[in-house]
Amino acid sequence: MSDDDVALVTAVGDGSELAFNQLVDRHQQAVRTFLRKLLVNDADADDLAQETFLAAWTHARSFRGEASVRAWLCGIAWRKAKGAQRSWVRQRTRDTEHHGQWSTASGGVAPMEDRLAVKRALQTLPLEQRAAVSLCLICGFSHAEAAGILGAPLGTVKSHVLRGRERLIREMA
Amino acid sequence: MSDVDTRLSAALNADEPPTRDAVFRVEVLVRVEQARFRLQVQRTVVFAILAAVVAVASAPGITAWIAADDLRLWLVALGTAVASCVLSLVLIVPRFRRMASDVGRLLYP
Repeated sequence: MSDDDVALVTAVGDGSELAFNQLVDRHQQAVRTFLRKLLVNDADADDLAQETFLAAWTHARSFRGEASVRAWLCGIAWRKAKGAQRSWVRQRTRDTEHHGQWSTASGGVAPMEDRLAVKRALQTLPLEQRAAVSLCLICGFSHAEAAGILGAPLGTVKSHVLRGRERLIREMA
Repeated sequence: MSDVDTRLSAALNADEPPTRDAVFRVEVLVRVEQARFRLQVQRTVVFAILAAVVAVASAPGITAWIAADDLRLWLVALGTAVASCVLSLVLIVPRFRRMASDVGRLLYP
């Protein structure tokens, strides 16, 4: 765990806006990437990411240093995502096709067919499985860290990642 | 790493948000300010209601107490002036403001 990160969160708890700016700059990419893989819509994901950082600002003093700051933030994001799950299910049917069309316009190094296939396959995974795959295969967390973030047993997370990965590969093939 | 793994990794990491995003940071700060403003308004309303209740409840007693002696009127005026100064100090001096903020956080976590 980075001492620098812990010092930042301590400073945020004391009301330092400068430290909060640095915290957002340092971890926004990981939190947004995680949420973007969980949600259908990138704008909704960014909205939830902002809520996550707001909660981090409000509850910075509750950070106990048991996990890394990034894992703590992803844990907040995960709880918020689970809370918002019901409204996503309603939105998913409405937005998936529309979002798929827009996604084809953005750039990237992966072939478009792969990206679309993986995106589609990710959306079909159960929420916990999708979260485990996102944390371990995209955000670079270990299985143990992901288990801590999701509040799930280590074996379950390993199984989620394994099955999720197999399914994504099958969809790409 | 096999070809499939490479393709999967590339596909999963496509469309990542940028490493630094000033717009996102500003949007977060706007939310923080909005939340802070809402909290301040809540505190002010609660404080104003409490002050009004105390004033209404104690008005008859204070009026009777002042009427008994002219000097007491000056005492009340002096007390009010001191209270105003203390309140201004709390709002102006950062150290006192932080103390007030800490008390506020305790009252309204």
